[in-house]
Order: sequence, then C-alpha cells, then structure tokens
Amino acid sequence: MRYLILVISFLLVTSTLQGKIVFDSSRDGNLEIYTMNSAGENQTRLTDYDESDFFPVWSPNGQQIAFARFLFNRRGDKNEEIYVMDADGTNLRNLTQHPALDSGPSWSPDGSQIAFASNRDGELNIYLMDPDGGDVRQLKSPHFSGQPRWSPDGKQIAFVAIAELGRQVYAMNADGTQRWLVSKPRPNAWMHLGGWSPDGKQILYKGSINGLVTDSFVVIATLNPTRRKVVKHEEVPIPKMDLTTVSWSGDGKSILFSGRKEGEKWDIYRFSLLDDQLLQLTNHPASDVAPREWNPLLPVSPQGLVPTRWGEIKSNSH
Amino acid sequence: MKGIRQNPKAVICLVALVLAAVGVLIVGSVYGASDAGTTSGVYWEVSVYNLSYSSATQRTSSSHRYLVENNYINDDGEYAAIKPKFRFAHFVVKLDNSYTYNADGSIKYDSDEGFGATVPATGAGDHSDTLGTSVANLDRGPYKIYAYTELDIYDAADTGGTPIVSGPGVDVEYEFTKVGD
Repeated sequence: MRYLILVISFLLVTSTLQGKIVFDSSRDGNLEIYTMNSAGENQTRLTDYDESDFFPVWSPNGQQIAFARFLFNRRGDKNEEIYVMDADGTNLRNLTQHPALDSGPSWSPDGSQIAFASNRDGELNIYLMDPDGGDVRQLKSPHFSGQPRWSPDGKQIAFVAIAELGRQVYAMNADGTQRWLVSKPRPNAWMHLGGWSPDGKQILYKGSINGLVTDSFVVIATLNPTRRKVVKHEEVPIPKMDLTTVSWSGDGKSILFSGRKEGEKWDIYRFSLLDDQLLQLTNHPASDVAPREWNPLLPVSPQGLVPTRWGEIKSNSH
Repeated sequence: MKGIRQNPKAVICLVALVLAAVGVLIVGSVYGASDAGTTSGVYWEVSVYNLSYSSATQRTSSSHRYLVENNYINDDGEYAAIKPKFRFAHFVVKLDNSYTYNADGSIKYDSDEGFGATVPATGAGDHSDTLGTSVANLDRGPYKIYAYTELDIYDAADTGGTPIVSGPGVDVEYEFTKVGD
C-alpha cells in the first residue's frame, strides 16, 4: 500500500511538473495560439480570432501567454498589436494600442517588464513596457531591431538588427547600452534569433541563405563567462529539411523548431542535444510553427544550474 | 523676344503640382511618398505608395506612378520645350540583407537587384504599376521592404542618351512581421 501511494504521488508530481509548449497553428484556417504538453499531447486551441495570432511566449511563471495579433485600422491597413491572456486562453487583454507596428513580445525573467519591437518612432526598434502595457520606453538599439529575448539573469537582451553587417543577432545590456555581435556572419545569410539557453551560457540562432527556409542552418553560440563575447559557434546537426522558428526546450537539453519535409506542411519537432534524436511532436495537415516551451523545472539562478521548482513556487506565490 | 506663356494645360499642371505636394501628406500616411518638378518645360511626377504585406497570399505589394508631360507652348502655339521620353525604374528592393547602413545612418545598397524592373524609354504620359513579390519561402520574423521609384527624362530628339532630368526618385520603407506559410 505504501508503495502504491509513493507511485501515485510520483506520478502526480511528475505530471504537475511536465512542461508545456505554446505554438501557432493554421489548422482552423488562420494562425491561432495552441498549447500541448512536452510530448506533443493534449493539443488545445486557446484563441479564436478572424485574423492571425502569432509568436506566443510564456510568462516566466507559466500562467500567462503574450502574443501578437494582426488588426486592421479604419483605413483598412494591417497592424500588429500585443495581447496577453491567461494560459488557458481566458482573460484576454490588449497591451498596446498604437497605429504603428507592435510585435514580438518577450517577458523579463522576473515578469516585471515586457520587451517588444515597434516602429512607432519611425523605424523598428526595441521597447520596454510594464506587464499591463504602461510606461512604454524605447531602448537605444541599431536600425531595424526586432525579436527581443531577455537573458535568464535579466541583465541583457538579445535581438536581431540590420546594421553594418546586414541582418545579424546582437545582444545589449537591458538598458540598451553596449551592443555586441552574437551571430557569425556568413555570405547572404539572414539571421533569426532563437533565444538564450536556460542557463544563459548559450544563444541559439538560425541563419537562412537569402532568407529562405529551404536553405537554413541552426547554430548555438557559446558565450564566455562575461557573456559579452562568443567563444564558439556550433552548427546543430538537424536532419535536412526546411526550418523555421527555433527555440530552446524548457530544460535546455533539446531544441524545438518547425520543420517541413518535402511536400508537407510545417510540423513541430524536438531535436535532442544529448543524443541527436529527432522527435516529431505534431503531425497535422495544417502548419504548426513557433514553439516555445515553459518548464517548471527552471533554475533559480541562471548560473547555478540547480534545478528547483522555481516556476511552481512563483506560480503559487501569486 | 518671344515670351513663353502658359496655356491652360500648364495651369492644370500647376494645380497638379499643388495636388502632388498635398499628395505627399495624404499618401505618406499610407506608406507613400511622391515628388514632382518642372525642368526644361517638362513636368514630372514620381510616387510610390500602398506598401503592404498579406499573410493570406504571402506577397508584398507596392504601387508606383510616373507622369511626364510637356506642358509649355510658346506664343506661336508651339511646344517650347523638348518632347520628352523617359525611362523609369521601379522595384521593391530585396527584403533585408540587400542593404546595410553606413555610419551616418544612410542606406548602403549591396546590390541593385530588385523584384521590379527598369522599363525602357517610352513616350510621355501617365503610367502606373503595382509590383508584388512572393515571401512564401522566407523565414518568419520581422522584415522591411523598400519600394523605390526613379525617373530619367530624355529629349526625344537627342540620341546621345544624356538625360535632361536624371534620377528624381522616391522611396518608402515598410516593416511587417512575416507569419504563416
């Protein structure tokens, strides 16, 4: 009897601690936000909107999801605004209401700020705002800066920008100072940012020759201890297929991405960095893209690498 | 000395010039820009507007317009200015990496390649085009497109190939997030 209780308790704890993946899917005709568990099961639609909802990201405690939504203004021009909803799809709130483009949200690790890209001052740049959409302020970043991603310690923000070397991945202090180059330029390669590893020691990015998903490569940049210089760029040996929207898994042991085999639509895959195993998580006739995983087993200290139930602790503290 | 007087057509063109100036404001609010001028009795306009991206069709689009008119006649009722012909270039510059920035913030084009075309010299008149390009196989994320319109005006009687008006042009940029297939 005692063993039975132990087994049941173990199953309850592990199921509670199982990560969740949020992603986009076009399975209802336009892009909507969905979630599933880390194994690809329990796929659930969260939004139901006439236009596209896209690029969802988890709040640090896994209780909310921020994303971008296409809207049309009175003239019929398409615009992008940032929304937040609870993790079950309820309590939808519009954080930005601006005629300019507002897109690509990213939560700070402590949940106190959201970074996003906007061209409200003329050209795409990185901005910060409070989680309720208030106190919007611009960071000083290069021309055409987008896709912001906070470092796990909250001290830096990685992003893509078009500057002297074309479209590259950069990082800067969270106050917008001291920009440094992350990606390794290659001829005709356009870079996209995947994000920081959960321990903050690596940055994942993707390059595509002339921007094409049909000719892409995925790279992990390993940073030196000061986190301001890349000491190694390693290409991830993902089997050949069309690639887009890469991200780290919640535990940093694998990479999530959207892949497309010849003649098929986009599906979500997990590539293990431990044994190079490829696992297909979705298999749907529609396109599934932009996976982002939240894992309750996040380290308290990005440098510590000691797994704790930080996510759960944060969840229960609210 | 024979004076040159403006005929009613010239007045119309003057009105058009004013409207074109207003048009900068109107079109500018929908991702547009235009320019106009008069050289050697030739009135010209260039404009580019309505840059857009459709996630449904996975295409970008831009509208371009070129107007060249000989708008002056002399006291004898003859055209005092040249009979123009012109060549125009219009293109949507390749998304992203086709350009970088100089230190002063100006754009440095890596190549002249574009999705549009340079059209051979043609007679004076009013021409419009809508250019589009597929972004279906581009990676998802933020992008910027540049739409550009440029004009060279020649004297139709001059076979030397030297333009009397070279390169008045306008360009507009448009930022969007590529999503979907």
